[in-house]
Amino acid sequence: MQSIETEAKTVEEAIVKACAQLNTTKDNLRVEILESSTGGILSFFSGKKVRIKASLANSSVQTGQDAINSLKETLETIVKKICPEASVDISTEHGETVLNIIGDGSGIFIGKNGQTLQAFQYILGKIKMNKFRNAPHIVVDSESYRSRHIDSLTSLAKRLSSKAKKKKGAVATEPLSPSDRRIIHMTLKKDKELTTWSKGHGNIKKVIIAPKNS
Amino acid sequence: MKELTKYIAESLVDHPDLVKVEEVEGERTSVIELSVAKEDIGKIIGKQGKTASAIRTILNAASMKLKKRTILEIID
Repeated sequence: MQSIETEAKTVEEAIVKACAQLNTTKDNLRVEILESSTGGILSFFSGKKVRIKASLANSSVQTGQDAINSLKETLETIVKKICPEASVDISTEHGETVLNIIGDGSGIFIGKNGQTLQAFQYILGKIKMNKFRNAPHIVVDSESYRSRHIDSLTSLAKRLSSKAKKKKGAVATEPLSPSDRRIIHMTLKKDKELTTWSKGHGNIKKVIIAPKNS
Repeated sequence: MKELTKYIAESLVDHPDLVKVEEVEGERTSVIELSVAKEDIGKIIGKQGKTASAIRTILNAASMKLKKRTILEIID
């Protein structure tokens, strides 16, 4: 449970501050007063402050949809700082929530081999864990890079599988990231004549595609 | 660039009010110095520096638009 402490002259002000920091409304807060001024008009002038501890009262109050919207806002703020005319929209594809970054068309948010896109995905995942835990899994995309990438991997898988059958021997892909390997494995899972496995150390491995009897 | 770093860092840590960012601008390269609360350093760096390198990647993309280079230093 995330909780913060804020300080202000009055309890109300402290609550407003806490709301701003936790990105929520007053109704969702559980407030605990740690230190209060003794009351009376004098304390107002003496500059003594009220300190409160606030935490999100019930995380289910903030629905998944709210969390997605806040994540979208966060991502949009980030991309706008890079490229002021960029924006983000939300869509659902195959049951996944996709945040699509609409840039200037230069692929600035994709980067070499989708590196920048992956960085956004990673950072947003971290922000989700930090602030919006009940948000569902989200995918960051830009200029439909993800679907193009999946298409190119599926066609690579098909090309290599026919090569393996022709050669009657094993063929290997280039070293790929876990999610990319998964796409190759899934594409060829239905093929009864072939078997696939990963080879290598660490995160980046090759996929070996081989006929079953060899 | 400074604001971008600050915003990302603030979204990642538990103590956003303790995030400090300084930018030393050069002609072609600028250095961004980021400091956060002691307990939050791990959050900024991440497992095997993954978070830090993701922030650097985003900064590189941003600086490409300005035709500059940016170096991120995390100060403890």
